[in-house]
Amino acid sequence: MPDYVIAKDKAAAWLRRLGEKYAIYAPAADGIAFARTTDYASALQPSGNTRRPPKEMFLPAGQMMLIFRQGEQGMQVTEVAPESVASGPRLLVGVRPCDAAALSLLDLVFSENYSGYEDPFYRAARAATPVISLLCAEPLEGCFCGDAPAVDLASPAADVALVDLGDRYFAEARSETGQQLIAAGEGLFAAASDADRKARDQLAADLKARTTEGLPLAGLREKLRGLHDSPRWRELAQQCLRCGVCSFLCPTCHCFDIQDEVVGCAGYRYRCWDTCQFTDFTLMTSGENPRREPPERLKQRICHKFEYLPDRTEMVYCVGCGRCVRLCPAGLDVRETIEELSGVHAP
Amino acid sequence: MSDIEQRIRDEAKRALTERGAACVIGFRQGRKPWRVTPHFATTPEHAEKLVWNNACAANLATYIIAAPKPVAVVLKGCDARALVTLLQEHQVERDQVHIIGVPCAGMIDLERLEPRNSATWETVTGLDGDSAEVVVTAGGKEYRVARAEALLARCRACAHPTPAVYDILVGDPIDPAVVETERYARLAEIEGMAPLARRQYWLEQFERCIRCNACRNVCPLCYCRECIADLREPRFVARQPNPEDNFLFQCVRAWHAAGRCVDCGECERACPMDIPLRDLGRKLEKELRDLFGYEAGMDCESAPFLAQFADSDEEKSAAGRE
Amino acid sequence: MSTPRNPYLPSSARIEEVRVETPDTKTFTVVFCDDAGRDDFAYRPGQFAEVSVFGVGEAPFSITSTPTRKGFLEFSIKRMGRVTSALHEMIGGEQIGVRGPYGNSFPVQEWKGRKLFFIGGGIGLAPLRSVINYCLDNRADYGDIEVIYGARSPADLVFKPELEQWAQRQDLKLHLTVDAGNEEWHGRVGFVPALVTELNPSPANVITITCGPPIMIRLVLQGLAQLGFSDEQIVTTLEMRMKCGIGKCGRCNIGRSYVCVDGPVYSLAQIKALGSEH
Repeated sequence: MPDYVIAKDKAAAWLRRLGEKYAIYAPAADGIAFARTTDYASALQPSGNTRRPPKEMFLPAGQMMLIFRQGEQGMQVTEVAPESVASGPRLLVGVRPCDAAALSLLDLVFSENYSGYEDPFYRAARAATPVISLLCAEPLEGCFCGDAPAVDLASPAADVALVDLGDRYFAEARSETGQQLIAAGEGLFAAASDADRKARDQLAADLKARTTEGLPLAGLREKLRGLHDSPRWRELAQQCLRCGVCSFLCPTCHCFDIQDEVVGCAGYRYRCWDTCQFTDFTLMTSGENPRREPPERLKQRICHKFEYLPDRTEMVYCVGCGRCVRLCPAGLDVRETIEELSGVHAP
Repeated sequence: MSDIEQRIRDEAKRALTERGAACVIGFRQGRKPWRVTPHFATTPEHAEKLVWNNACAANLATYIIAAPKPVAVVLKGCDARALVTLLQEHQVERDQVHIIGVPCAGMIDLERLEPRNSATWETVTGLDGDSAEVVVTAGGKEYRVARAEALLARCRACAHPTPAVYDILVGDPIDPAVVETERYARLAEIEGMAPLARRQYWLEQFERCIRCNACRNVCPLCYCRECIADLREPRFVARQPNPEDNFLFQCVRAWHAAGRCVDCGECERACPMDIPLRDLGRKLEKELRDLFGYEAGMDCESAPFLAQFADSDEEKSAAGRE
Repeated sequence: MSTPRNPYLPSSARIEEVRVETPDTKTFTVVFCDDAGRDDFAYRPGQFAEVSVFGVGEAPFSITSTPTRKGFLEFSIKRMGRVTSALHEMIGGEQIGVRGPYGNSFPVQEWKGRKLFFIGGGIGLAPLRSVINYCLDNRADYGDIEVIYGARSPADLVFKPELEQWAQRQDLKLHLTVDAGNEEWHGRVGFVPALVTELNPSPANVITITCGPPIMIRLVLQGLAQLGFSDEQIVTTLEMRMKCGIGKCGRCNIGRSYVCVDGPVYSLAQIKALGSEH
């Protein structure tokens, strides 16, 4: 796919043109989430990352799936059309490489290949929402994307991958859709030169160097196989508060609950974020709970991301975005956990 | 290493070796010198790792109920008051907990320090209680901020820096620096809103809530083994985040904490969505003071507030006062 | 209506008949409201379906009928929580939702020519009944079929009319037992695992399929091991809390295996390979 550059003062014009077709979402000023914006000049921010990951555009925190109404002819059940998750075409702007990689990982899980069924809600949301990524100028504390095998900082899994070269953005079209997005900016882009490409590569390499701590994310898989009975889980679990901060804010976590809600003679079925850290995650109606104790639930979280999902997909389900590190109220640091369990450091 | 830190280590070791403590709960250093993480020391070697600085914001009282007993725990003023409530409610018995009390002049809000991106910080000094400034070195430059401005909001309003109960105090008692009326300054703003506007305000705040339960789980006083919000039958609160149910959840929590909440502020610190959760608890706390002259978490011998009744307690409804 | 593209959308179905099995267990005969729903639902013994009581919720239930008898589905359901209680209030004619079939199934093709030894306890007979009847409907494909079934008391035995039919058959040997008898009970009294040991089955060319309460399973597995059964010869079904039923919601896994996709039927060898203490 071809590469381009666009002068910074032209980038806003490009987004304005795209804004005629797409509802554009960029990180909000308060840094909490992606929000609809028409302030195209400020959409591309050099650093920082939203608290809420962009996964929520595709797997919302709460999502209606079907509606039922008691009528004269019986119960009428209608699906909520998967396409309606987005009221029109949307465009995500300024997604970081870690989060873009996470979307590829979610694509795997929600695909038909993975379990024999495709998730139509996720797929419709993805189809309706191209992604423009932007490499961070500075990492945040807690970031370790350099160690995450799924993350390609130079060429992240977005439709268009932008890198700030100072007075201009490097723009790589990584898909057909990306090509179309760039074509919408006709006259604003120029072809990228070898020097541009080199500069892009250097910036990506520099950032990778700063976010590489030598954490063996991929190698952890084999280590974990032998650690299922380790007392270390009990020690780690002492600190953990069993809240949902790490899972809900993790861009690759995707577990959800399904519940019905009644409103008069009608109601709806929804799905919402859930976490293996909650006590009732595996609580059966009979009262049995295979993961009653906190150490078992913490083990599930770590093993799901670093052993079980890699066993199913050959991909490690952690992109080093650092949200869990920054936001864990108990101060647990997954990087420490990875090191200890890999035997790199003694506990 | 500060004097307090050494005294904590010594006292922790003494608790393990001489007082029969099964475990000492304190802090150890995290991956950066200015980050700390709760630490459960069961041997004197473990106790050597205990640290103390003004990044030790977490309320360790939340770990007491589940900890092996007897337990020794490092507690600041706010933490100790939470423990008083636990003692009043017999969630732990006094002789099962050895309190290493630390008078605290306030914890630093690391998020308020410049430059905001802590990935570039090289050093942070002034995290001990004595310096007047906190200094961050990043990119070879120094960024200075006066201690008072660097503190967590809750610490700037702290009325009890010295633990109300302790077995040993590892520092000199500290007097509160705050003026009483400043504690409730933010509440006046919300109280001034007309009811519909106030409701709108709160629903907007709770738009962001993701129902992660961090606020509930970090709270030392939310110790119900089965939370009403988790019940499936009957279901009181929808699992799906939505402003109405989110707000209901918080209101239920605030009411369950009424007369017990000591405003340790952990709920607000834990919230990943920056929702001003302390305001709800403090509103109830203010009502308690105004109506009954009561302050939670001060006297571990007395009964819980809702279990007390004095003849001087007036029959007044909040609605009537408006 | 063509095959639903959306796997979360149930097909409409109706409760046709409700049979009381025990004080807390009923068998529901369910038919789809339209032909498309019925035709789309081609299931194999051992699979389960997600049954919806709209407004209350959805829950997974193993299908206890056999696909060799067409036109209806049967679920045997113990009253335990919200969904099951709502179902137990139904008398017939009510509309519910059914989606599926999900999960793997008993590997009946591999069993051809072998002896089959079924060991069931309590409501655990429900998933076994599907494959027992399947094998009976394809009787020539299999060797001797023996069924051990027990419950806490005579009142807790499920499928009593069917048990009587099986008892009459020459091509199936049925052994019933109860933990505690009563005045009307003239059959065997004793625990299922003890009966397994007493019958002393030879493991030669036998597949044994067991389903029941965890404690029964544990003791049965011990007994079978002592009798020389290998882990590959022992088959069971596992339960986990399930929601989506299609391997997306992430909750029913045991290690890397999703019970809703890779199970619920597992051999003991497969379970041990998952490394769990389940």
